[in-house]
Amino acid sequence: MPEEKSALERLEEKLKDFWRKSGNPHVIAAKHTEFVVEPIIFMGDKLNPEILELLVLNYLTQTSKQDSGTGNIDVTPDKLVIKSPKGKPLVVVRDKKVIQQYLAQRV
Amino acid sequence: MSSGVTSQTNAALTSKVRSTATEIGHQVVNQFISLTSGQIAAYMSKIGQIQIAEHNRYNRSPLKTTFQAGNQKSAQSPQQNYESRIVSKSEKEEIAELAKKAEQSQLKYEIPSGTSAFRAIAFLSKLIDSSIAKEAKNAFYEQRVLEGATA
Repeated sequence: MPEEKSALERLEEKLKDFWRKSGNPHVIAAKHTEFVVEPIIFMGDKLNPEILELLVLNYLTQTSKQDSGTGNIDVTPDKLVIKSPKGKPLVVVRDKKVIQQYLAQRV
Repeated sequence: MSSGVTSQTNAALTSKVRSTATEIGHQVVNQFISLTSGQIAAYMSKIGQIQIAEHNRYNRSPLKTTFQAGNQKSAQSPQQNYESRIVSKSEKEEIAELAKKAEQSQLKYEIPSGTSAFRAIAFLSKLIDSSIAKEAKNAFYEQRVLEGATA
């Protein structure tokens, strides 16, 4: 009987599926084989920044479209902070390209 | 391990994954198109930071086929050839170099570590995919129980 997976393993699988759909998977074609180079989801106790970037970009796209009102986003030209509904900072973004895109969308 | 050291190590590993993926991509395209799955897997497992999903196109043993081809071309085994050409630095040196680079550069995306990361994932994924949010919440509670049990 297969062993039941932990919630962490199931989360990793879900995030990997999300990455396969929305990310940019590298496919390496060798002579008899094809490889998909997949990122590790959690590195120690931290989320892989590549997955985090994908989540943040999708989150920002959704919030600007739906204007859902969930959470607050504090933005300056240098830093974008996504906060929880209680006002606790969850993610800090210093990617200037993303910040500029977000600011341009709001105008 | 202190959180400073952890974040440095994580940043180093992230850079390593990226550079390894790029390096392997280039190497395979430029020189190693005839490498066997076994050889690539051996290298990848040596690096140890990338997970591989392998799909054998022909459902046969590529390892055997390509080892024969490699032996015709060179007296050295393909495995030795491969390692001597690609692995020029020791893994320790590489990690130390990456850690130094990571220390100098500022991370573009930051998230809390530990169980707080699960909360952040749940929040971010709520609008994208509710099943991710659900599993992130489950992982948060599961981890809390585990931490309580070990405390």
